[in-house]
Amino acid sequence: MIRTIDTVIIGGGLHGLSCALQLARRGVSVAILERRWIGRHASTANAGGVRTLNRDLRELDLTLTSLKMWRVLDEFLGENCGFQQIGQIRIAENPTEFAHEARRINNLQQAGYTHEEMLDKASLYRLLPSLAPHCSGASYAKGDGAADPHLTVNAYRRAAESAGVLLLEGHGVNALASEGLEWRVDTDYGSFLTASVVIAAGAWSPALARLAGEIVPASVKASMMIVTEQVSEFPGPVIGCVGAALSLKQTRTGSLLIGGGLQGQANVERERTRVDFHALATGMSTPLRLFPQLAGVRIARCWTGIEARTPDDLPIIGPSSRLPGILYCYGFSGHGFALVPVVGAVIADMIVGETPTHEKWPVSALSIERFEHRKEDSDERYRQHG
Amino acid sequence: MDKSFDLIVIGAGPAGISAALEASNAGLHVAVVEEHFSPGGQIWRGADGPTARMWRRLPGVKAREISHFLTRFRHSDILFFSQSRAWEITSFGEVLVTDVDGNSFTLTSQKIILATGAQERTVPFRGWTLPGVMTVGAGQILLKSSGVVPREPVWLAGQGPLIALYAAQLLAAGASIAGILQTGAPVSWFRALRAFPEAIWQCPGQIAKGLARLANIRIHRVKIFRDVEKIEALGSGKLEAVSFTDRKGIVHHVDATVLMVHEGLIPGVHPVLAANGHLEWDETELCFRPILDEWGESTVPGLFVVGDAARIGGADAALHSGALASLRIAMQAGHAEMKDFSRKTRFHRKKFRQAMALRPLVTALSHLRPEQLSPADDVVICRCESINAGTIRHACLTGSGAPDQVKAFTRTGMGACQGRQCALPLSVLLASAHHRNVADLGLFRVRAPFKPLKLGELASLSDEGDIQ
Repeated sequence: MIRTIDTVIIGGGLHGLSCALQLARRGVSVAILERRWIGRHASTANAGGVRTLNRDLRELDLTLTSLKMWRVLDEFLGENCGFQQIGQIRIAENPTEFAHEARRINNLQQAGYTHEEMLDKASLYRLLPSLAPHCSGASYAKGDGAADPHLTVNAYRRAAESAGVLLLEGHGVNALASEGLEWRVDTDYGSFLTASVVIAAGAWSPALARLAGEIVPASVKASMMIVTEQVSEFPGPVIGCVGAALSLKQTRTGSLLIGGGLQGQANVERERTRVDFHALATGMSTPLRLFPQLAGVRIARCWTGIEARTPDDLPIIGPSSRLPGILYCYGFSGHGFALVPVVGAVIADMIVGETPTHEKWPVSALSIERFEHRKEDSDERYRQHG
Repeated sequence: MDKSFDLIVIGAGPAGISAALEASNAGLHVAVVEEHFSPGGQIWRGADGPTARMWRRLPGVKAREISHFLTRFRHSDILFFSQSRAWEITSFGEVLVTDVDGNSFTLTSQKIILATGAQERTVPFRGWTLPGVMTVGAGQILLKSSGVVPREPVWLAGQGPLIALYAAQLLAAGASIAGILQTGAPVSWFRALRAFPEAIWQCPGQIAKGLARLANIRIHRVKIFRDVEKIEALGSGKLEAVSFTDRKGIVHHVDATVLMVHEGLIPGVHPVLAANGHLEWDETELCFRPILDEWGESTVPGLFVVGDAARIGGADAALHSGALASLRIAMQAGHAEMKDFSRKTRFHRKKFRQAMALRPLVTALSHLRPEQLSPADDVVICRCESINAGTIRHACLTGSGAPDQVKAFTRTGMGACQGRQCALPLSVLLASAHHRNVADLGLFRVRAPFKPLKLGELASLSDEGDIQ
């Protein structure tokens, strides 16, 4: 059976859902093809951070727009996502780190950005009285926050369904073939004919692009997370630090969530991951140095997510330059949760094409073309040396 | 200290002790990791603690056999890590362990035996999470390890031989029993009669003891209600009363301060799942158990499961299944003489079969009623996260029907017990919502670490190099 539909989105994670919802609300007929189930991998395995603090400048404007959308997302979806504007902080543990952060914030402010500020030692300890006494200060984005990944997935899922999106779980894509101006997408349960295909399949995106006939860059990120038992109130913002990989916060259920990008092991093909406890143990020195009182807190569980990482740690958002009708939305490299609301709107505008996208959205630096140049350069070099 | 071994045994109950002794006899370098201070596991708990004298007089205790094993164990050259928790088994043959002082370390071996025992089947009913309601297993541990029995008369509810044994032990320890509520389905006499000849032939002593226990309960004029349904624990903040319907349909409402429940034992599959081993569904026992070959080796090469963690059979069966796994491991390592190996293998296989001969009779006499697996919507299923059956049923209607998805939707199994208690009830509810077999659905995945671990204990793993 072949069905005809305006847009097929491959991947039922948060980005796929956000794209689908935005398209459906613009009157486009959309199907999400998800091999397992909605939110199976990184969408529910992440820490739920909504961070503009210390963002790469190439995606900063996009993130700031997304943050505005997060603040009204509950209304937009008609359901609670657990977003709380608790701020995010990046602690400098010594004067060198403090000077580094101060310089960075100064540059930001020179460029006209006001979302980050510097906290001196006194203000830092007013904000985090239980912090170990050795720290020098911090950079701080008080408009940042965090949301609940599970609530957010469920809210997007229901909003997408009521907007008319076809959610097809258990639909793995076996083939992607160009048929004239359209694409045929084959699954075990039938095929789809569509004008545009959005590949939003996280770590599995390169494999899908290969089905369509394009080699795209991405390696795998397998960030480990720890959630603890419920602890008494641990107030304050989401805590990170300059010198090490850390993200620490209290969830709405009272547990502590500790992550920050320590890498476990992942087998992408088998969709299995493994926590590397030796690496995790080494990484634990940072939170315990900042908060020695946490040593006695019990771990409830640890896990590792699987997602795509690009060579420059920035996502790939936008159309393929070689395959008309194919759009990419993957490679968020460990910081895609904050971008969910805005990227759906960007992709939807790209497909509906009402206004020239690059005028409306600051995404030109995130196009896949940035890697193609590099590849041509290397091809060039190869020819010269060869 | 060298931390690499020919064999690591996790759990020092009968199965683990027997496996370690057999391997050590064959000349293997063996480590045993045990959470408690002394070896013996739950079944031999208290054998040489402060309550040993009381313990020896309890019904069901085979004091001489037990001290024989414990003495041999103590005088062996097995390295015994007592009061130590194994909490992760890596794919490289590493066992990560934390000792009583909170120091973590790595033991390595190409062969690992899980002898981590059984768990009590969770059958949620209205009020089962009230303080004052506990499992018979927990009550028995309290009695054996510290001689504690409830002061108030105890209501016992459930099925299986452990209820009769614990009742006899309570009476011997001077406690009083308010009544016994037998919950299971009416006995299938056809199945019982079919299982009886083999059981009486292989285990006459066990059956005689069981009958003596029942007679003893009768002599003490303990009230017994058969084919009881609709048990509810009532009370605000703590247990105050129990209500139930008896076989004639009469509803009883009785005051109660202690209710102990037990719906049989099932293999504790958490550790083998955490090590990526596969499970199969046991239709007779209505539980999952690890897929094992005839020696106890799981689907993970080098990882063996023995004793009640493999299949419920009790201490006698556990002794022999532990020995069989070690014989295999010694053979693979080239540490066993062929003649000796065959003789011992034959001996332990025969003894294992004998000990297991009682089990079909036990399952024929105690069987869950279908409605016990399908509690009302307001009954709590996941006590850590306070999720009730209705929420789970509702979540089962959305999505693709995978236990992991229902877990993600509802937070069931994300609490401190890591889903040990609610994993099976969740799969049973999901199976009935989708008209599928529990066997096909499996259980939701297990997250590491498979035993409690504190942040500081985890961090101490990175100091390991400094200590050595």
